[in-house]
Amino acid sequence: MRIQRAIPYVLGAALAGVLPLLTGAYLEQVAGSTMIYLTLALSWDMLLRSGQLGFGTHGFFGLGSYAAVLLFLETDIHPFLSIAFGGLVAGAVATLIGLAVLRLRGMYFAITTLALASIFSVVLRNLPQVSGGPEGKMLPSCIYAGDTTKVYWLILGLALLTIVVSEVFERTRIHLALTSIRNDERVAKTSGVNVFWYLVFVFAVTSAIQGIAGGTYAHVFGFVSPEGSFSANFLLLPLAMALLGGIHSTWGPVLGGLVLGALSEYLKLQIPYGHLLVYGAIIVIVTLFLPQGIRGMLRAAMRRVPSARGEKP
Amino acid sequence: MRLLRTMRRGQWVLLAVTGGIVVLLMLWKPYALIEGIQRGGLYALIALPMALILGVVGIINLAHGEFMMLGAYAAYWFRVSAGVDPLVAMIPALGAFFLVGAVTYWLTIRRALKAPELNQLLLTFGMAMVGAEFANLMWTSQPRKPSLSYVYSSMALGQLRFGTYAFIYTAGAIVLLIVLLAFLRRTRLGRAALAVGQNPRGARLVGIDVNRTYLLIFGLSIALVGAIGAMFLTRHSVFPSAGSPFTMKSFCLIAMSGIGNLPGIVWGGFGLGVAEAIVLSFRGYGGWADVVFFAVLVAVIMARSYRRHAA
Amino acid sequence: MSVLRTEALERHFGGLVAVHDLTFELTEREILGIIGPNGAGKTTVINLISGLYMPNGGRILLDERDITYAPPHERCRRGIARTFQLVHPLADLTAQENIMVGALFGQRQSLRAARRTAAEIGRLLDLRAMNRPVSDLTVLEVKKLEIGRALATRPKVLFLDEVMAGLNSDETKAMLASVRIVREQGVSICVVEHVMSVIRDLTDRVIVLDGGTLIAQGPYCDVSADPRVIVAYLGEEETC
Repeated sequence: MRIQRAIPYVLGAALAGVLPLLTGAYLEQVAGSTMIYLTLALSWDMLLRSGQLGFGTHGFFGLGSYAAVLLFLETDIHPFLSIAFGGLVAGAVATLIGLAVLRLRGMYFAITTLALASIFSVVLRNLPQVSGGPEGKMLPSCIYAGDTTKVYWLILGLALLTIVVSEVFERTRIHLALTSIRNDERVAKTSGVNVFWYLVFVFAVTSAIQGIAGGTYAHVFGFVSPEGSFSANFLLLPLAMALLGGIHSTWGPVLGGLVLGALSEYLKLQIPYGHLLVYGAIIVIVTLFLPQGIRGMLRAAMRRVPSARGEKP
Repeated sequence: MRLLRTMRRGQWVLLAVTGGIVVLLMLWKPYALIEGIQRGGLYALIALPMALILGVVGIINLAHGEFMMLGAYAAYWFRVSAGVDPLVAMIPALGAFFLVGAVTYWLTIRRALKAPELNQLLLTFGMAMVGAEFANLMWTSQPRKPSLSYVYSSMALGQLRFGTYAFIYTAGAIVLLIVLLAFLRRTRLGRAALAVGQNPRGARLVGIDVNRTYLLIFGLSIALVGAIGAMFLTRHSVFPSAGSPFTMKSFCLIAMSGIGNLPGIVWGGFGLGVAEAIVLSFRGYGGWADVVFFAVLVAVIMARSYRRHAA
Repeated sequence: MSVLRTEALERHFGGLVAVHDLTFELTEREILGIIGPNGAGKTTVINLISGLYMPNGGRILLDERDITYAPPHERCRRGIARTFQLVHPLADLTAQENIMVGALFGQRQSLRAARRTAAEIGRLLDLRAMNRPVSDLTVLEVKKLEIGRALATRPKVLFLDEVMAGLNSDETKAMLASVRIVREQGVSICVVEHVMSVIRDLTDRVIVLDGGTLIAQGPYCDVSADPRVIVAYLGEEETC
């Protein structure tokens, strides 16, 4: 029974792994950057499941990029270790910020996180001895010497790992803790949930994932800079992906990520300046008219078919 | 009663400390004091309409700075196409941005009033991005600024020589504060807005058209911030991401002074401006000025959560 | 033997005194009623004891251990559970998961054990349709669910904040039965209630609050004859 249930996932992962081999290097790159954004989208949603709106994905992404690159340049350790270090730094910084501001929530938390990317980039810009200042830092060579297939597998591995973490969040006590906090914090507290601890924990874990994504990205492209690494793209696209796909789930952001990832390449070609306008518009429209996203629409359609009722919500 | 007296004493202490700091600054870093009051005026000026929306409509408008940025572009366009001075362009900007605000309210905010706070934040964040990227698409990311000779006016006080034009922001903030307070206390719409802000249900019961009040206040606030954008343009360059830092600083000031405390925003603005100017005045460390407001924001949040915890 | 005790509990909001010098105790397996006119501070007492508000003075002791300033989740784990006046089922969870929250975090059970606990409690309180989302439940079922979630934390003391409000007479009977079942589990219960017949039938003892102070205590029949209590209630329709 358990094995049977795992089959579609294994098939999906295998398909995702093999697919680019059948296509060219360009599509591998597109798929790779889609997976990076998808990872960010999923990690953003994991925090949202606790009822906290974070606007800091690009902040932790850039922080992880810098930490990975700087450690790698200093010590010459294995790139994977430096990427992990990027995650560690992002997670540690998130823990400190979370401890400071997570007692007040809602708009206070959201706006604090919205400021993070610009704060991190200002700090790094003003520490030229460490960070290379406004120019940033270059790596002597990209990871796998730019072999697109290996790079794709690396990023795919990261995305799959994030999906696994997200499913762990969905299937263990963490799911009940976060949902109860989101639905009614007073009920959660008086039912024994340590609300503050869970929020700091989730904020740290999701930020660490964003840091790892940033570290990976930096190794793939071989450089970090205050503008590039903290670009609002790494906030806007993931948000649009998760919202479009459907929030509070693993498969919504994944679905939205795949759809928008494909679309974004097309848009980039069509409107080189200002293609981000579309993502802003998606955020506005989905928030107003389709708060459950595509996944919610599909589920509503499924519910109308009586035979599909056994499906796990 | 006793509480009241200690509050009053607290205010006196605050006033004395502020006065002391001002005197010290005049001796130590007079330029930072002047520059800070000018900067702070601009921060307060932009934060006031945002506070008005939050206080009455109950929405944090994360697109606030973007409306200011669009106002600046509108004034720039006026300048280039018709040769209109940005300060004159403030008048048509008021009307145009009232319409922009009212339409925005009608199309989006109105539908999200009953939604959870997170949806409102997401919505206005999305609007901010649409605004910034729209500007990017229309005018590219190149900074734009009209050349105006009068902004370089300066004066000398003893050995101090400093630019006087930027005091327009300081004066603007104080005037806007006085006008807004009078509007809220004296006019029909202002009183209705206060009532709606405190208790929308009760206001509806006594016959106030809540939706219309929201529409007018949102439109008015956007009109103000659009016109302030034109004023902003006289001294500063405009580019697509010029607005977003002001959203953050405005929120910082609102969090600092507490929702509904308009004078607090002006004082807070001066404080923040002076603090930034002091950091800026240290050669080589000026880049850190942008961190000041964030430190203040985190400190305010920690102080508030501590107070709530203790209460 | 007192399970829960407060000593000179004090709480004010700005200048408004909500609870003043409140000393009372709850003994093992007792059902205590807290009554008083609107605004007497009944719900504030529950909020103080469950930890949602911190007191301005006084002490709260559970099994003679001081919990005055413990955070709410800590108190829950030590044995204080409550329901809310306006019922707050966790809307995105099923009925079973709602109860599991209490077992998982209040008792720190494993997922599997919590699932078993939830099923047991469902049977005990006669809750059917455990796998349905809570939006499908009736008012009575939602209120039972609240009690179930509280019970799943295995409390020593359970506070019920107006669980009878909004129920018709048949439902009230069913609810009374449920509360008695809970007592048989060895739980001390404290009910805040406006419906006086419920207080009369259910409680062993009542305390009466007025303006945040305790004005009378004892068995319901004695207290309801107390002239101070009658004065406090004068003009209130719920007078027996």
